Amino acid sequence: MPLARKCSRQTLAVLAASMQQPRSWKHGYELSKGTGLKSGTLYPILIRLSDQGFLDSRWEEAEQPGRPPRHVYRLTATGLALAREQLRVAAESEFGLRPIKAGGR
Amino acid sequence: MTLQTASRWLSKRLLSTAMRVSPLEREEWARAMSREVDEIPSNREALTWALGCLQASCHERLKSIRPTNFWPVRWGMALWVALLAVDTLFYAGITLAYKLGLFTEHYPYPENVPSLEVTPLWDPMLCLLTGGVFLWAIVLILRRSRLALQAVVVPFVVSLLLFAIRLVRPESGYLESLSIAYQKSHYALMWPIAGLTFTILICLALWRDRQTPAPR
Repeated sequence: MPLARKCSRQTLAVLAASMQQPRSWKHGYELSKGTGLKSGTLYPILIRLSDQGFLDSRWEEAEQPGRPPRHVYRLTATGLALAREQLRVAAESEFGLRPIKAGGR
Repeated sequence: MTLQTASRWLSKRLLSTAMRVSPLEREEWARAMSREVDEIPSNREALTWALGCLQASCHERLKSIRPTNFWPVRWGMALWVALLAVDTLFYAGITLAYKLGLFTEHYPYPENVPSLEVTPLWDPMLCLLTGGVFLWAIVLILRRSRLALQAVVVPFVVSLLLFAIRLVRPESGYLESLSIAYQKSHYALMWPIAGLTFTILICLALWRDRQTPAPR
């Protein structure tokens, strides 16, 4: 199922955060910090992007021994194309990219 | 137990609840969310994170619910579609019988005779087909088939179109009969509107059903 033509502000924030060093894998907490989104908003977006083939995910061994592995994410090639397109559209729109307030709203 | 340890304990409890609430196909994501909490230094932030995880799990659980998984919903839908089928087939049967001259006795609804006279033969024939598709839709709904949506929407749209055609044909007298019914009681139109709404709701529920992957 393709993503709607115009993404929500929250999805745009996730795409923008993932676009910074796009080849590197990012943790959920790191994305939460980067976007200002709470986990309850962030994860449904990550799940949707992953279902639609825009996001890759894998388990990564923790740096500190004894810690459980963590789930990491990065945009796929189609995800990168989508992010570029959506961010360009958002930048050209009347309001541009507005920052998300604490709490993810 | 200090406030910090109580906060961490509560976070863990919330995360284990989130894992339980999460649908089976999202188990990996629930695990991913809960693993992150170990990396959050602040207790307060960890608690907020855990609450968010529970919210996300509830969201995914709600998304995974297929309305037809519940047998009362399934049977309720089937019953309503059965009523639509009976209504359509009754109209088709009685109109066809009149048009083909099968009434040896007096026609039981003399007030409808002027309308029947001007009704073309294809109208009841199409209704017969529509009623048949409604009957097929009952089987599909009960079997939880993805085709159920089309089997309800197509005859429903055809019925609406037929109704619209009858309305715009002035010689059919449909508009007058509706107007008379409305003059008798302002609530007379409430039932058809409620029926229309209910059928649309069924279509939406079946559409929702199609969007939701079947549980593993």
